[in-house]
Amino acid sequence: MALMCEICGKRPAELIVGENRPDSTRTLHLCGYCAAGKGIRVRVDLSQDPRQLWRRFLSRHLKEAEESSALACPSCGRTYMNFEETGSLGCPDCYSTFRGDMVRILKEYHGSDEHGGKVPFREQRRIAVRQRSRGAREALQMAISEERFEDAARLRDEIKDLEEEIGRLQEES
Amino acid sequence: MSALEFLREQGEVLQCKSGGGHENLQSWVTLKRNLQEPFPAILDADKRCELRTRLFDLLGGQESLAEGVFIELESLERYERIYLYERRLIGTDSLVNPRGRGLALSQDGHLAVLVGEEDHLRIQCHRPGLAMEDAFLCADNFDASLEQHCRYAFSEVFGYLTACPSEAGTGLRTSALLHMPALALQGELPKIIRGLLALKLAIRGTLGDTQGAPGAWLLLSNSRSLGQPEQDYVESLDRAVRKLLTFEDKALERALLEARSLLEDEVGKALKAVEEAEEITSLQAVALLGSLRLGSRAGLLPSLDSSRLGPLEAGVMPGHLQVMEGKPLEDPERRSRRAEYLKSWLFA
Repeated sequence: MALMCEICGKRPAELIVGENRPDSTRTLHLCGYCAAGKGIRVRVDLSQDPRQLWRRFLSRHLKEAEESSALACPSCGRTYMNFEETGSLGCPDCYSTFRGDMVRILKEYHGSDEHGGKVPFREQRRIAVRQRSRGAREALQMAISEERFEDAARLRDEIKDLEEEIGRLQEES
Repeated sequence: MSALEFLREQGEVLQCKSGGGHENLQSWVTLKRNLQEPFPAILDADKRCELRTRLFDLLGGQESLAEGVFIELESLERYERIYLYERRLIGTDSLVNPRGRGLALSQDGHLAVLVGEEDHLRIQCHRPGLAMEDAFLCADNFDASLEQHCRYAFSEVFGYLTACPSEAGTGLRTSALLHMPALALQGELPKIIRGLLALKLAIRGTLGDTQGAPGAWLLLSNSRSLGQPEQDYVESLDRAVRKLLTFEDKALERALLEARSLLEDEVGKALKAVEEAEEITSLQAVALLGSLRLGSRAGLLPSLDSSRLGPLEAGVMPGHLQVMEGKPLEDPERRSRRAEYLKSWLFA
């Protein structure tokens, strides 16, 4: 059963308050209203803004980084140590430079390491072609293992065409 | 018209308008976007200026910003930048180190794009009231239109690539500012904060993390941005805010039944404190106005025009106060000017 407020006796106690008397100190269990009546407010910890949550998370997880500790980004020169110090990366290519640790860190922080949201219009075609190419490769392995050689030959041609298209789209970008 | 005059004119769009219902909150959404080149934080100021020129050109071609204003932040006085910071339009980097950073604002005040701070672009849409969905659609539509004219840094696996990996994926941060005085009075806030953290939401006060929640204002945002569609993050915050508003309404009903004299006392003390004040700090002013907003919602201040509270809550902040005066004010003078300002509005 919940401990009741020692002043009103009607509501559950939310706070434990020390009260100084001339000859002693006693502890009171009070509800929010009775505490407020005595001018006491519950203190709330609000050091939970997104950037602080991130920095606290990093201070716990960065020490485990092994793969990236000796790396520097070839595009911007940012080192993994710079990332440890600032919590920020130097350029978009840093994500692939520190990829191993980034996957682990992002998965632990966001609960996922794979984007599930919007895709820019310009990327949609490239991503769709890549996905088709991945699907065709899986189907090719299956066809080989099941000795369906005609299907395998058709899939090999399809993969070749898709790879060429990926190359073209890459050049266009 | 100067950029600041423009901002002040459309500024009331963003204020909490009255003391009741869902109007005691604000909603906003930001989308971080980058081009395939170094992030602004590692550039020197000259390179950032060159980047800003290119990005302003890009933004200037957008219909939503055609009638808007483009501000080079180093052209403003520091107190004017503080004003923009208080409006949550710029961050600390732009406040302290403005060179090469800029802000583009739409004519109606609903859309702002911060340029060259931590990321190349921070698309921001602010709304009064409970309007996360509306704010998101505004930011998303602008983003869709902008991407036709540039190539964003994007990875199939990690999504939109941001300077801080805590915002990678969708690059989305959706936020709400809520007034929760009845729950605070009941001593319920710590429990509620624990629950919100379990939902992976980030919570802070309005005046920095060392000050607790002055005036019982809480600022809520999503802390995760990678893995789910944008809409899920928006809806999850929207659900949490609606639930909190219901809790707060119930807490106020309960306080009126069980602790009416405490409420009356709180509101009476706040009014008296304003009436007698020679000087008031912004922290004190936010706390006092929080009590008056509570009084107004509880129907204990029928003579107070609650539509005055929104402008007042903004107006007592240091940047707003100095912009109103049109000059920088040192702290002792600012405190006394703030007290005069509060009295003139409340007891006019």
